[in-house]
Amino acid sequence: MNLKVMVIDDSMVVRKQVAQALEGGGFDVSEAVDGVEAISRLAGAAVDLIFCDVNMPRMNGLEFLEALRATDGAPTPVVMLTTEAEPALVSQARAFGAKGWIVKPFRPELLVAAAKKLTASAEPRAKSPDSTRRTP
Amino acid sequence: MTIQTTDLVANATSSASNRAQLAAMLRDTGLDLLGSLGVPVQDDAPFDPGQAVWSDPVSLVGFAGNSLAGTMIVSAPWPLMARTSPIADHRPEGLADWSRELSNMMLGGLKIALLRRGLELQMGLPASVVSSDMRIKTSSRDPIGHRFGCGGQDLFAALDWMLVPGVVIPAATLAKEELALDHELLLL
Repeated sequence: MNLKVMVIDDSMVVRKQVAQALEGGGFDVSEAVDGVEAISRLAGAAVDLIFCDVNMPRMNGLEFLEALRATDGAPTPVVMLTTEAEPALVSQARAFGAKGWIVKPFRPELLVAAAKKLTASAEPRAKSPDSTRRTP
Repeated sequence: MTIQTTDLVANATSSASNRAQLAAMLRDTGLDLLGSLGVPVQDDAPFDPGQAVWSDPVSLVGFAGNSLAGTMIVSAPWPLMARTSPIADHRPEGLADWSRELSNMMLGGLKIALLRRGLELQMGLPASVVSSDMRIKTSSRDPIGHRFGCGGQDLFAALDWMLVPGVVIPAATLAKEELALDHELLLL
């Protein structure tokens, strides 16, 4: 079973670019257009890694991180993938438990390397519904 | 954010050096971005956004900070959008999406350049329009425009900007390495 990655970005082109790169690297990829859709999808199917934009409508990346931490008992690693590089935002993401930060534009091979690095010890997560809703 | 629009002027009193710095940052950002997308720029030159007639997808993204606010405007013909797009789907809605992302990355690059000078700003969300004959009314009396020539097709980037009176944009004080901007994975 392949490891599962979710990409959250309001740009369809970026989502497809990330998916293309990671599928080429042997990952199964799901997509969400913003934090709200991501939280909803994660309630039904756990993933092993998340790449998440920062500036998005409805729920931005930092709000998503905060919401995820409130529901995700065994924290899913999150890498922020964004045009932003502001130290204050990086610190905020770190405080909310993000594991990495990549500034766009990005090289596809970097995403695959990052995904492999951050899932090196992960076992593929079960497909069962609500598997993200674990208690610590 | 505590920005007061009354604190901003449409650079009527801004110094030439502020404009020159912003123009240089816009040019450098565009060159870096297009280079990283594998589309080298063969020639480039300033243009006057106030006189420009925009066509094809035009994307705009606003920004605001304590010292500087405005709008980044980016446009390029469909074939150039297709050349730079990282995916093979070149339908108009996909290319308009990509146009918005380009404007977002242009503003992100400018934001990094400003951060290195100690100026912070917050970015809005990009929007795009498709037009064949559009003029954009700028707030700035002296908007900045730069044309990037890429093998017979041009990408146009413009900056409508307002600066708090008395603010002087300093030279870069932060090294690139001090920001998460090397386009590599920064482990947190």
